[in-house]
Parts: sequence; structure tokens; C-alpha cells
Amino acid sequence: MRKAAIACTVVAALWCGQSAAQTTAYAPGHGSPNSIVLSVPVTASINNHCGFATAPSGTYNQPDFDAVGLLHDFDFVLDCTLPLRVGVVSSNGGLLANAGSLPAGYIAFAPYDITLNLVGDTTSVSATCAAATLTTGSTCTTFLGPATTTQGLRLDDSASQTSGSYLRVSAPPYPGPDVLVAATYNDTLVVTLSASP
Amino acid sequence: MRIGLLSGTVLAALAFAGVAAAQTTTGTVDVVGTVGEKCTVTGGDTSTTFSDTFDALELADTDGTLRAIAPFSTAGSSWRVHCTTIPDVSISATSMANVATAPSGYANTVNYIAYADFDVVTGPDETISTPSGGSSGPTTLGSHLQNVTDNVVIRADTFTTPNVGDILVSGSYAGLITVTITP
Amino acid sequence: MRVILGAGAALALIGAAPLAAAQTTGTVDITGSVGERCEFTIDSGLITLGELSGTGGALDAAVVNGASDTLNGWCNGTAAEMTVEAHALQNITYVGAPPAGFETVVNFTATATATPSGGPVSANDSSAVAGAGAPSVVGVFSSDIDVVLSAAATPGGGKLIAGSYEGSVDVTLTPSP
Repeated sequence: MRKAAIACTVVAALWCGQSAAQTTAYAPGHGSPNSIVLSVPVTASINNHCGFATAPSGTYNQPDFDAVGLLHDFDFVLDCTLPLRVGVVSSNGGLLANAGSLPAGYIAFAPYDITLNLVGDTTSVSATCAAATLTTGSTCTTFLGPATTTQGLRLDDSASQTSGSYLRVSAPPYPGPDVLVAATYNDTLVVTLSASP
Repeated sequence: MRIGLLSGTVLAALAFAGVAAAQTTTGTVDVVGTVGEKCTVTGGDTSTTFSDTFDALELADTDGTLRAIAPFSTAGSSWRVHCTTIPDVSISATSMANVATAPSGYANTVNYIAYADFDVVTGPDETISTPSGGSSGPTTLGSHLQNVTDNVVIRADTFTTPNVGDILVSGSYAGLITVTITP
Repeated sequence: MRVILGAGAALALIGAAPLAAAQTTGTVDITGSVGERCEFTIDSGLITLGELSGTGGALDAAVVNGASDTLNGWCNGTAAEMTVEAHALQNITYVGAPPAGFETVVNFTATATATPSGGPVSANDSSAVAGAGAPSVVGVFSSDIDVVLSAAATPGGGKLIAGSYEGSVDVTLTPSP
């Protein structure tokens, strides 16, 4: 009996502090119940996340863009459990060729527009900036990158890998008055994403 | 046999760590375009052609010979030729001709000299020329065309009959000057 | 990961395939015209016949026949025509109808001949017939125009009344009838 008391005491330290009732299971034929079900609740949590399921990438190459213009969509897929922002930075602010010094009336730089279209689970948002206003520190604050919690085009919605988001580059045939010299022109756009709860 | 079991809630807090793999938050796209070597014209008939007409009206003087015809020039036109590179240029000209036959002492042809002046960015205008019935070029200009209106001027002067004193056969006369600008 | 899309990939493009190098051509049409014209470079002459009568007082036709003068002209059209109108020698001193047996008019035929490259072309007229003679096509020519008188005769063959006689020959070049 003492043993039992000690055991209880020991046990009490561990168990008896908890005001749960004891249940005894008996071997069949020796009492009831014969089994006790012990429920062990299991809970878990999944952290918020935000990123591109498919990031915008690739190269769009348009011959004779001075005559036919530019039009191309870079598709991407958002995967974000929170509202988010996307920002864009243009390295050259337009299409630029390395053509050396040029005579008056000739030019090696052509402007174009960038349209950002973000599709979420229930809403979407779209905006356009001229590439010239998306160089580092420039003026199109609508979606000048890099994206942060407070900078960039905001999609006030989650986006569970919904399709339809794109970055579009567009321009009409070059209207002049300057003449674009024959050359290869390029620009690089860096697109960044940030949660914006 | 007693088996004492606590029926209380035993919390087994199993924390499943979320998908801890890093997410892509940056994408990079390259936009590339080319401008090929080409020549186009603004203010012309189409994007690649321009034209003018010089009507010398009555060619004969009172004595039937060729009258003194003043030089003709397209200067002041609305066309602006622009090339994305330094172009090659050439000119050809056909004599003013009348289909009627011309007996001895008569002429059914009026000759002239045709010119094309190119306003270039470096130095004075460059000129190519040919007598009617001939051609000149292609010649590469020394520098780009000035990107201004009226940067190509076509002229004609020195109108003559094959022989001095020829009487011109009556009828219509027509000739053509063609200037080609190739990138 | 970058995927390079070349120009041949399916891109949303404005316009068609890449343009061939385009040249630019300028043309100037030069036109003119020459109207059909004729002109006399020598447009008048004078045939002085002198004494018209022979022995007996009648016309000495030999004085008139063969008398000639030369004009010069040109026409630049293939349809040019030449006509002649002869006006009889008339006594300008004597007024009124002549008495019987006397004459105050000497008729003649005038023939004008031009020389285009294809050979001589003539037109003529008799002063006894009113109006000009039939036209002849001279076409493109530039030459002398010889005017020759012939077939001189008085209406009645009588004696010529004294006085001064005047007549004329009109040669007309018509560029385009």
C-alpha cells in the first residue's frame, strides 16, 4: 500500500496535477471497460507564402520594329496567399542600340510601353508605364520596382496560381521625326514580387 | 491487471513546418528589336516612292526650233527620304521623245541633263547626274542623308535637239528621270 | 531559366514577316508638246511683168507664163496642207466694163510647189475660177515654195485697155485643216 501511495505521489506529480479522471480498463472477463480510447488531437499550420509559380522570363525579338512596332506578352503565374505587389525596373528605359555617335536627325533609342496585368483569385489589376519611367529611381511609381510591401502594383487579393497575369511590351511603328539607325536594340526588365499584406 | 491511463487530453502538438522551399520572387525578360537597313520616304506618293511632273508646255519657238527652256527643279517639295544607313544612289533619264517620225532637218527628240542632289549630314550636297538616254551610279553617299524635308532634289536643264536648228515635229513629248536610293 | 524565343516562334506581332531591305525610288516625268504650225520665213514676193500686150494690143501670154517668184516656209505637222488662190490681173486705171473687143482682166493659173523630203508637192488655182484651188498635203517640210504663173488668157481674147494691172497669188499653209 505504501508503495502504491508513493507511486501515486510520484504519479501525482506528473499526472495528478491534472484534474482529469482516471479510467481503468480491465481484461475481458475481469471488468469493463476492456479498452480505452485515447484521443490525440493533431494540429498543424501552414505559413503564408508569396512568389511566382512561373516567373516572367524569355526573350522577345522583333525584327524591323521601327516599321511594324512591338507587341508581346510575357505570361507569368502568381502564387501568393496574401495581397502582393509587383514592380518592374527597365535597364535602358527603352530599346537602345550601341551605335556610337550619330548625326543630327538620327537616333539609336526607341521608347515603348510596359503594361502589367495581375490576376488574383477574385480580382485583377492592370497598369501601364512608359519604359523610360521605369529606370531605377524614375517616376512611374505605379509599378516602379523593386517591389516591396509598399512599392509596386498592388493586387489586393490572393493568387492561387491563377493564370492570366502578364507583362506586355508594346509600341506603334516608330513615328519619327528622327530616323532609327540600322542596328540591334535591346532592354532588360527585372520583375520583382513582394507580399503586401 | 490494472492499467492506469490518463484519459485527459494529451496534446501532441505536431508542428508541420510549411513548405519551406524558397519561392521565386524575381523574373527577368529581355526585349530585343532590330532595325534593318531600309529607305523610306515621308511626304511622297507611297512609303517608298515619290514623284513630280515637269510640263515644259510648248517646246517650239516661233521658228519651229526648240525654245530656250528654263531649268526645272523639284526644290521645295514635301518629300523626306530617310534611310537607316548610308544609302547608294543612282539616276537614269530618258530623252523627251515624240512617236512621230522626224525627216531630215526635223527632230522628234529633246535631250537634257538630269541631276539628283542629296542633302547629307557631312559637307555640301552630293550630286549625281546623267545626260538623257543614260544613267549614273549606284554611288554610295559620303554620309547619312540629312533628316529634313526636301533632302533629295531632282533637276533638269540644258534642253537641246540632236542638231542645232532642228525644227520640232508636232505632237507630245515625254521623258522620265528615275532616282533610286538603296540602303 | 531563360528561354530564348527567336523571331520564328509564335509571338503576338503587329504586321507581317520581317521586311526585305526596301529601296526608295523617285521619278520625275518631263512632258512637253509642240503644236502643229506652219510659217513663212519669206512671206511675200513681187512679180513684175512689165508690158502685158503684144503686137496688135492683145495679151502676150508669154509675158505672164513662166513668171515666178520664191517664198519659203515650213510646217511641222504631217497633216499640213497648202492651197493657192490666184487673183486675176485687173486694170486698176480704167473704171467700168470694157468696150466690146477690149479686155481689162488677164486670168492665169498660179502653181505653188513646196519640197518636203518625200518629193515636190504642188497646189494650184486659176484666177478664172472663184475661190482657192484644191488643197494639197505637204506634211512636214521646210523648203522654198516656188510660185509659177501659167495659162495666161483674157476672157475674150481682145485688146488690153491701157493702164496698170494688178493681181496676186495667195499661198496658204494650214497646219491642221
